[in-house]
Amino acid sequence: MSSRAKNPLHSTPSPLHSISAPAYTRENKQWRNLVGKTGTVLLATTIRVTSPEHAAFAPYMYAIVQLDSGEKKAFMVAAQERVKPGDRVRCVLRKLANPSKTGIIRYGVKITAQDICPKLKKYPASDF
Amino acid sequence: MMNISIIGHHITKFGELWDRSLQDLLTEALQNSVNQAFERTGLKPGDIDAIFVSNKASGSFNHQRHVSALASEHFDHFPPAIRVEAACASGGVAIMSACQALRSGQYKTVLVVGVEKMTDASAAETTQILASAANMELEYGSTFPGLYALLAQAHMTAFGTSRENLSAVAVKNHRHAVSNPTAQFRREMTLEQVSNSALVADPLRILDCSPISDGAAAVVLTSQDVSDRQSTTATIIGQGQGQDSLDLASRASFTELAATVRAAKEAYTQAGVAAKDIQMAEVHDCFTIAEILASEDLGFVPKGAGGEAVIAGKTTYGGAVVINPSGGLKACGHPVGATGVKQLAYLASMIEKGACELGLTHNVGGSGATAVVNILAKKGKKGLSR
Repeated sequence: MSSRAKNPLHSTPSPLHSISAPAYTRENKQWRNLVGKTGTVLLATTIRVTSPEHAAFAPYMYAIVQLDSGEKKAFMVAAQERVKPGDRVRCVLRKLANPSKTGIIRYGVKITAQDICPKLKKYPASDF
Repeated sequence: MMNISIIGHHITKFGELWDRSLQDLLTEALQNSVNQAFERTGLKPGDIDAIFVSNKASGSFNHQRHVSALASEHFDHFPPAIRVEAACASGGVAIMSACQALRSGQYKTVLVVGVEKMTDASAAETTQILASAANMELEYGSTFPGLYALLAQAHMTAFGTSRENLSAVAVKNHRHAVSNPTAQFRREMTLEQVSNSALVADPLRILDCSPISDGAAAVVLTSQDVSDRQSTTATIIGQGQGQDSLDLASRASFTELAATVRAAKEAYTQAGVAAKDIQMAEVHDCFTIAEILASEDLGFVPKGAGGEAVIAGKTTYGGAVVINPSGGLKACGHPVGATGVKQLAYLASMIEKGACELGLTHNVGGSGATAVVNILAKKGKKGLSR
């Protein structure tokens, strides 16, 4: 059994846009393994035509990332951000699918290039 | 290895067949292929020992699961029927399974039928259904054009493959489809039309993509040395199946499909032939980049040279190998469950017509997790090391 099978990022999605409570619980356990991790974009594309559950996000970017922890993973890119090969990114928790009228809103791991290397604000000594 | 003869085959019209149901398509392919086999060899309906049904998603598209039973009930003796699903490689794996059953001696003559009725669903629903062939845990949010777009970007970066190279694949396959009466699109296209079509997932455009199609295809296979009224019979002389990780990100390389390389190596070895011997090939061009990858991974051209080979005319009539004489998935159409069976049926017809003596089919599932290669030869072809 590979590590991939033991460490799913997301549960199998419902044909509806919601997620069952047990699946949501399983996903919650996996988020902590990725959120906050950083990596480098290897490949990226802009998806312009997609399934109904992601239609509200389109066009959105989808990328394969070499994580600094060693593994390669594929992610949706958060918001309307643009990334390209070589960009540094961080895993963040974001909404993954169009919210349904019933059920739990689907959240999961996306990547962002925002604030990946935040500059340390230097406070004058008088502030302390 | 035991050679297996193709004694009957039929391909329905591919396309948006609004007046044809799943059962209509299945029935046409099944009955015509079986009747042809009976006329050619004198076999009787009771000689069909089993049926292998290739279908990806009739449960989702048509609310019809248990499609294997629909095939069996065409026969008074209700032969065992097995549904095989391996995404877009369902047909290839069904043929592989059927041949294994024949070689084991369990059966002597079997029917393989592939069918998909896709156009009753909306394009958005179809995108969602097809995306289920990806790893739904690790590739959430992806689409099939999206995954192949990533492969295209990797190939472009590594080898300088160009927009023109991608477009040339579509232009060639549409040209080939003009002479195929069952093809979905029997019209030529220009490089400019393909290159200026709408973006689906950068850099892939709508005319880089195979269409959503309805259709069915069937072949009757036998391990028996039956007398065939057809003067030329096509035989399967080599087969291979390769696998790789279902999710693209976990692959060792983004510029080749390792499953194809593995399947081809096994098939060439079984057949005792090399890539340079192949005269015609039906390869899995679900997207234009997929044909470029296939031409390299099957050994027809060196790695990285697939795009330029199309421009140079090396993969069409007059070139080293004719790739996708049917028009391929791109122009003939891609009713998913039917595709792998159609490739075999079409190549068998080419051999029967004398268009080639040695051919290859290549069927891929998902973004390359499964690949099946079959090598076909004219029965009794001399010069083979078997």
